[in-house]
Amino acid sequence: MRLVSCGSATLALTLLAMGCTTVSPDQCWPNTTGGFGGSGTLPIGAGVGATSGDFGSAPQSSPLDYTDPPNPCLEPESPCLGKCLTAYEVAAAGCARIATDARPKTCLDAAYAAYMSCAGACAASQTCTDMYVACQDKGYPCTRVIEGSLSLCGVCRRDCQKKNPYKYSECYKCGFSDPR
Amino acid sequence: VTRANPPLLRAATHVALDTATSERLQALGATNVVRAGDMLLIGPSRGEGVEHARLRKAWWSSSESEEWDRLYAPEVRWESPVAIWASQGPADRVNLWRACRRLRDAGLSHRDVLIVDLGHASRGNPDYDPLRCSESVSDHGDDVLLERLGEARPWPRARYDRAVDLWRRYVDADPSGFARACVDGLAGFPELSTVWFLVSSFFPRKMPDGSIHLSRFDELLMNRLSTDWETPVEVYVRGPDAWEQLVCCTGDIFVAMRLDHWAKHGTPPAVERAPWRQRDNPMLAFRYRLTARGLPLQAGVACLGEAPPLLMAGTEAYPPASPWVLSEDGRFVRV
Repeated sequence: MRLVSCGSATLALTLLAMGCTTVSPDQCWPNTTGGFGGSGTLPIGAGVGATSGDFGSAPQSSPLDYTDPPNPCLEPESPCLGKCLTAYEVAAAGCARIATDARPKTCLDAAYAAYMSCAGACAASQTCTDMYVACQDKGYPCTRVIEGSLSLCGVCRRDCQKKNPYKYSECYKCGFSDPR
Repeated sequence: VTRANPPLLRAATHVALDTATSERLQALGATNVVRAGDMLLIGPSRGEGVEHARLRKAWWSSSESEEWDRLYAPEVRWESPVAIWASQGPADRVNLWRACRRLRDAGLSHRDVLIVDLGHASRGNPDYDPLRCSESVSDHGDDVLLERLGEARPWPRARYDRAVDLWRRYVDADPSGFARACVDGLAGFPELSTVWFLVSSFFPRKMPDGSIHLSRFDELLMNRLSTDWETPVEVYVRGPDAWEQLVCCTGDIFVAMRLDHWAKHGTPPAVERAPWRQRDNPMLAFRYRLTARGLPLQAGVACLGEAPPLLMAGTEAYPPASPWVLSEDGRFVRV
């Protein structure tokens, strides 16, 4: 699990205003350690959120028994997304070494665009098994038992592999996206 | 019966063999729905209802408050007619035999019982799950469900009797009668070949040279393991086609259960386990790996005591004494 922190200087005021516990997935920012002193912030867009949870963006007919609102900043990192982040961190570190005042912004924008493209590709390449593994990582109630031998994650994976509509709308909350 | 006029939907008692079907029928307007969901192809089963329910609860070690099998619940009102909804999946078919027996015990005539038989659902990926274990009545659209209910009829007495008898054989402590029915076949019950393929996958096998091999499931499981630590999640999701087919039928939780059986059996055990994360999630509570004692089991050859017992239907695979093993001609023999 990678804890995506709310640690950016530029974003801090915004988050203070809205309360860090009430952010939506597209308001989360990873704590990149690319060498620019905390100023190199990176929004995780909808495509990224969808790789590991997609909470709040999918149809839902019955509420899950979460006692607390899900923290969209706490996302399991897939190996694919990890590679995107590493590439971003390397690029961002390079940006920080550029001396001129004007260049870093353009440089960071380019690094960010590359990250978003990479993360989007991750979302598109997720298999039903990837989503099942991420579902198990989420724990209860995604892992609750359905009729003894099968977890909810297992039911969702079956439907995903069969390319059938999900029998349980919670599958979306537990990280599954529509089967391709 | 049409969508505009589904009187039978409201008037009948409906037996749904899985949770998703139960919810679909209620959404369609059924008011008296009895959920009888349980994967009876693994674990113990008994003919007597209270004993069966007690054993199943112990088998799953269920901490869930939700009761997914209410077939024997005393508060159920069995008001005629009773409609049993069944897909072609092997777990549904065994459960259908059980429901026939239950309704007979409840005093209903076969004429009071409508069998709503759903064919194979045409949508979805046809290459996935060749044994049809994941089939559910709820895979079908509302129109199909209502149409099938309208067409549903009681089975002829002889066919109903055969279903009740199949359940009797299934829960018998001597599995040879059930094996014989499966191998010989029975008119009106084409599911027997698939049910048999699955049930027999959990019993040890006697080879032509007289050697005893682990069950098909356990042999595949041993070959999924290595001396590296793995969680049940990792064991479940990766494997050859034969493994994928079987675990698609057992469900993921059973993989964790069986790994635990192995880890708790023998001194030293063939499989060892170490705590991992998510104590409440059986799929991630422990990691497992083969020990030096377990490595030779990958070849399949085993002494019977090396494998942990497994309750199956009315009997047990790998019991400590006089175990049933599967001979090459598909019969059970005692060793």
